Amino acid sequence: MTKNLLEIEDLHASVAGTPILKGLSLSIPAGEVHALMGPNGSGKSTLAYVLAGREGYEVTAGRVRIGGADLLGLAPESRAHLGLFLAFQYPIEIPGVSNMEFLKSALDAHHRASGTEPLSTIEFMKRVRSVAADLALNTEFLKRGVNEGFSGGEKKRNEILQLLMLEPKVAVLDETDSGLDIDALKVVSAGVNRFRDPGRATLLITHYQRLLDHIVPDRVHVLSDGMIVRSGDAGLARELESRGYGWLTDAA
Amino acid sequence: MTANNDFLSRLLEYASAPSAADALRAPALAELRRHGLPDSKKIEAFKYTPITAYYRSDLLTSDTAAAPRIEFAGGRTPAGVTITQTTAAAIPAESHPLARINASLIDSVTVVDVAAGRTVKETLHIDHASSGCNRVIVRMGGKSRMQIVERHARVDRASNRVIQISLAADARLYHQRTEYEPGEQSAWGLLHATLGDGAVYDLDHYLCGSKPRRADIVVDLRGRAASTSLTAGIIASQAHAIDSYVTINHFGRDTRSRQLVHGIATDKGQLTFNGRIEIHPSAGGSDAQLTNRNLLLMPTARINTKPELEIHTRDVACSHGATVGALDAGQLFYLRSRGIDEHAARSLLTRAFLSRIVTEAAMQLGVETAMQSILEL
Amino acid sequence: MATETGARIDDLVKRPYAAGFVTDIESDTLPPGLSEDVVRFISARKGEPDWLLEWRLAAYRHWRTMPIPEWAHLTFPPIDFESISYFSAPRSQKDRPQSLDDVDPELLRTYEKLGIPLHERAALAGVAVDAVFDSVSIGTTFKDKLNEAGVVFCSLAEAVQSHPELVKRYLGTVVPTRDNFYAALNSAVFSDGSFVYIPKGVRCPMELSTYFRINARNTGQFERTLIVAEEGAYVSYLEGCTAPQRDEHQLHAAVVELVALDDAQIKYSTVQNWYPGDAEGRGGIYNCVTTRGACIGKRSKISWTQVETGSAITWKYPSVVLRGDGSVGEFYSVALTNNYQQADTGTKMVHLGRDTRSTIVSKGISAGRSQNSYRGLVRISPSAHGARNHTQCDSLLIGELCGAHTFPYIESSQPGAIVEHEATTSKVSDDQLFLCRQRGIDPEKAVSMIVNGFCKEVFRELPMEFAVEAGKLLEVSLEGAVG
Repeated sequence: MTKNLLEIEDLHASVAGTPILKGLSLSIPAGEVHALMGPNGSGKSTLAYVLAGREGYEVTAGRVRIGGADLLGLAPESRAHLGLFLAFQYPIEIPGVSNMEFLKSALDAHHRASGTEPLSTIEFMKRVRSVAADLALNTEFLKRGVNEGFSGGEKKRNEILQLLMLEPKVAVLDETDSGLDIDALKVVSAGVNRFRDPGRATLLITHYQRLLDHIVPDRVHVLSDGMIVRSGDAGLARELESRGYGWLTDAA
Repeated sequence: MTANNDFLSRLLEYASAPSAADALRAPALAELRRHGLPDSKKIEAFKYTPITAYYRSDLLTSDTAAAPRIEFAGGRTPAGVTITQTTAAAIPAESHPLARINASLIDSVTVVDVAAGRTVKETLHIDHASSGCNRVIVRMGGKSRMQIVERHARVDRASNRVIQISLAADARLYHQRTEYEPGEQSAWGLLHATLGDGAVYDLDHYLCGSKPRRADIVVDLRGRAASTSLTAGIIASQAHAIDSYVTINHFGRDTRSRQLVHGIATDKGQLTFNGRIEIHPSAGGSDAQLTNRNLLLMPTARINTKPELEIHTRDVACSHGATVGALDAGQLFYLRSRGIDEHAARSLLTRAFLSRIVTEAAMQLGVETAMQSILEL
Repeated sequence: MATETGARIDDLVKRPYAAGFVTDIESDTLPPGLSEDVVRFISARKGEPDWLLEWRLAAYRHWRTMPIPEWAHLTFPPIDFESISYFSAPRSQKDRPQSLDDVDPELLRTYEKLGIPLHERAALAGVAVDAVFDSVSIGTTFKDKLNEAGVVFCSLAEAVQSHPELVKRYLGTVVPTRDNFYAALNSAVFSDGSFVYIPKGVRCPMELSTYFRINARNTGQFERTLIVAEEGAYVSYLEGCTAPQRDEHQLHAAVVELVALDDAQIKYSTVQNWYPGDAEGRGGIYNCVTTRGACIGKRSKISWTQVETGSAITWKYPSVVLRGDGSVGEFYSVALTNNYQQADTGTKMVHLGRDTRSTIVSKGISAGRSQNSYRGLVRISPSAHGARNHTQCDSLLIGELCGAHTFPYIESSQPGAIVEHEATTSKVSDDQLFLCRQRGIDPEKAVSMIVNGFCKEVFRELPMEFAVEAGKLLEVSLEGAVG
């Protein structure tokens, strides 16, 4: 029996009083990658924000555990310290804060929270340079403001850079494939595959099969109207690609 | 008798006593006798901090050496520059009532002349370390170049300081002015720059509140294609008030102005910014822009901003934008989702907000660090 | 090229005011001058209850102590308040016409000249028209349909008699008698105006409209309008003004008060075309008006849309006090000035409630030697957590000698609020005109096109039938403004 790293049980959540998630349950064992698919408005991004603890996303029932620890009710940074990472669908621009400063602050905060020794500036630089190089990001990029004036592809690669630097237990990637050309998609997928590890779990939120050609999921779940209506293996995603969502959502 | 009339009569009495500076003071005294001093309720330009806050009787004492220290880095005045302390100069008149007070109380004027065509490599330092009234005149000859670093240190009594700068054709001046230290009494200053054809004046201005402080900046773009840029950082913290009033007058054709002003108010601070651009009928082809962003960090603080445009000719490109708000919720969440705690995230974002108005030249002189320490970031 | 276009502009500027003429109706007019007796006369003439007389007198006494406001970017000779006549009524007032057929034919011809055939227009557009001629209402239509819905739409004088409790409850609650110089004066001597009451949950079945006219010489026009929308009610109100050409300056000091309770919505649209004075700046109306709405209720909404093309002097700031949580205030404005016209207009958005929102879109067009100012205040009180404001102020300069000014005041003491203000200035350039002419479009058409595009955001907010009128008005004003 493998240990579940992420466990979502009967999750209900509302935005501005409107229920969006209506009893969502989903577990991801260590070492697995699951894909969450579903039509627009089914609640995929809401789930991502609820997990990360964004203001305005109100949990009305259910529980979420990461590595056995309760997640809900914690501040966003405490969730990050527990090992949750959200790759944003629309990464936020923070002019005036350099990418480097941002990464160092985040990494130091993780070390402080876990009571481990922070990296020296030299070690940090070495690591960030090497990870950036793998993602085809140059050093100039690290000096720029966080996501400031980045292209869509650069923003997504920057999310993966943060993922690889912070090494969370559970990564939730919210439509990381959207807005990427094929080369960028390959770079990003390689990054995610590099993150794959027996001690980690990944939830890929996506619309399209094409990301799953590069990152083959262990399980595929279909979200419709706030609930999981079907789960299956990677074959389910291919079936959705050819048949659409109608046959599932209509039944639900 | 109202408070300001009382102040006026004491001022007139004090300033009328025979002094070596009589000739300097006479014109302003005559103006004060004719026009009196305004009552705060009637003046739009003193809407948020009344002008009477600057009618301070401790300006009427002679026991302070009011003149600032003016010298070049290294202590030697370079060739082509003269610095004179004089009672004989004809000082350009200012219509500002507080400048009239200044002119009727000063003991002397410091005049800095830069010869035409001279590029001065050394930085001119102007250090204000005493209370009271003083006046500095800087005259840049045609095609001359220089940089000034002006500091206003903490003083425990009221101060009233005027600096008048003129740039002849194609002269260039970089001016950095810092007014961080809160004093125990009101601080007022006027900076009035007048630019000839093709002259360029760049001002980096960093200021914090006091009890209270007001900075009036007037830039007259007289010559054709004269150009100015103002970058400013303003902080109101504790129970301090800061009023920054900037007026850019476009008189010459094809003149250009740029303003970038960031304000932060926290604690019980009150920050007022008034950025006025006036395009006179003679200033066809002018181009003016103002960007004013303000960060309100606490509900006890207050921000008043008024970007004004007054345009009297058709052929112009003018725009201004002003925002007042808190730190961006999306940015805060992004930082926190990466494990940075709320306090650190706020601090990081506030520093970033400040860093955007610290120019490279100002950075080298430690402006960023100074402003961060005022906000305890 | 530039001079040639300039000459053309000059030619076009010289066109006379298209809607100018004088109607010859003898007025029952009080001699000029203001005193307590005049206030008593007005009140008695209208058969008002004592409380209203006392209310007027208190306003009058306070007005006497107030200075004339001088802060606006306006220059005009002082008004001699003792030379104004404070009451005038059409002669037929005593025996009021029972239907439009009984209305003085001279008046109906006046409307016709303006292209506002009252009954036809009302029938075609489904608009109830409460026509105000000078100071007294003389005709109201569609009463039955409104009665059916429970909507009260009548003259304020009538409402004082028929709905005294409502008038007493709301009059002066949004614009207090001491609010400002002109509002105090209006409170003392207001002649008449409209009263609208929309009961709980009622959506007013038609757009309500009043046409204002100034006719009698040397009479001030002191309209007073009060609109109350109860919980969940909706009303759209249209106010339009044109005026006959004349020489002497006239003061117009109206007050408009709007009250919106929980979930109520009031949309108030104005097309203002008071006589602006001639090409040399002689004559024209001084329009010093206090218009304000109070969003008292939660989620209530008040929306002002104005197209201001007339008056020699415009002093007008339709405002919204956002008291109810989640309430919304909007201000959409086009102000066009030409010749020697001066306008100082804008809005105040006072945010008191949580999550209140306001939007300001102001378009100023300056031509001739006119001065056109936007003056606005956005105030965020400490209680207004989550408040939002967005302001966009654009100026378009057409003449070489005109002025376009922007004076926005932003005051905030609530970190949970966001205020954004933007202003731009653009011009109709010689290059644009040249391009259009080269492509065969005459300059007048080209400028009209550019100006209409510039104002689109505001026109979109006007009710359909009013948008047409606004477009027409602007075109008429532009004919006299540019080439």
